[in-house]
Amino acid sequence: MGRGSLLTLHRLPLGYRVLYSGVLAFIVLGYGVGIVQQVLRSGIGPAGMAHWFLGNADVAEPAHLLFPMAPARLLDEVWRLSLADVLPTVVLLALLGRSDLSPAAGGLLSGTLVLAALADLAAPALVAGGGAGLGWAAAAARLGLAASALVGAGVCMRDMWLRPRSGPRFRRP
Amino acid sequence: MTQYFTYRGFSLRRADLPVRLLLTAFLCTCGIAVAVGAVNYQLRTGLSAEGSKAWYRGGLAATEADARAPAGTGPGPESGAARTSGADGEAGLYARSPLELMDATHPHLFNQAFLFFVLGHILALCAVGPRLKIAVYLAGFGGVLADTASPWLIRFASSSFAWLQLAGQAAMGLAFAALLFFPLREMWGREARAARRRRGERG
Repeated sequence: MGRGSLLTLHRLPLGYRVLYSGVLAFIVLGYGVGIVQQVLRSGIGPAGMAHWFLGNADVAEPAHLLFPMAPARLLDEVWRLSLADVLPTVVLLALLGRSDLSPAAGGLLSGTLVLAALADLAAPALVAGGGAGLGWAAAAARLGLAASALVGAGVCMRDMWLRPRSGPRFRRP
Repeated sequence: MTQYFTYRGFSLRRADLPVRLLLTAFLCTCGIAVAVGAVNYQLRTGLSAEGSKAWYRGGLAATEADARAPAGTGPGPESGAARTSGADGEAGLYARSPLELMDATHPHLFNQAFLFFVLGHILALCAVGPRLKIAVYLAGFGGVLADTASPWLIRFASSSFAWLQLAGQAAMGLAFAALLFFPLREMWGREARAARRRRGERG
């Protein structure tokens, strides 16, 4: 995607590669921790996601009693998701734009990231409005976002550390 | 900002006045945010190893209660978010549950990484040696890692890891100080003003 420009990941000097690698490592770690967090809350499967938003009063002897989220709590959840889950996709998209992926592959990966992020943001309203039957959409969005972020970070890391750095190098003064 | 990367020899001291004002306002806001974070830690833990232990494992009262209670029934580290109370009747501290720790870990990993991403780009536009830049990045990320991992280690491994948390916060504080100081010096320092005067620029 960044072909033809000196600002491609595989031409970056060491300082930038360290900076971007640290950011990518923490983003991947953050998505992993987010999945474990949801597992601890109510489970990452369709039923678990539905219980998180709709409560689990219908479950016999649940590990934790969960109440249905009030509209204000749902908005709070969306706000948290936008900060914690969606904001890092901006960084990933910016870095993917400087990768050596073909336009088709880069577009597919970026599109998947954006769609998963939007679906993750919409999930609270979808499940609250559409019922527990849409729990699968919330689970797919959360897992899809984490998976596409992992692939995106892997592509960027590969470009920075594994690709031969041929051609003119981009250098800071 | 990235358009400046293609200007050969560009550094922040050559940036226009509006860009310098924008970056200065952003850096000042970040500085205030970090200071508020430090005050937050100070109020919670007193920025001490003892305070960190009490915050994550529960207060001293929990230990006393554990000693009196039959094995496995007291509000000790294994009993999740049990409430304790001190001998003087003052409300004590909970031993943090995994979910409580996770609720803090998850946003911290993203937010701090994002902040370093932005501040690192601003530092990259400074005429500072590459080794110093890399040292700042490594100190920052190492500090974030220690600060994020230490609550788990304090809670579930050993209270001695409270020192790791303090070390991580110190490393992060130094990295943030460098990330704020060098760009501000580059934009407003004596050398920058002299260079602009030579070019006949204002500001």
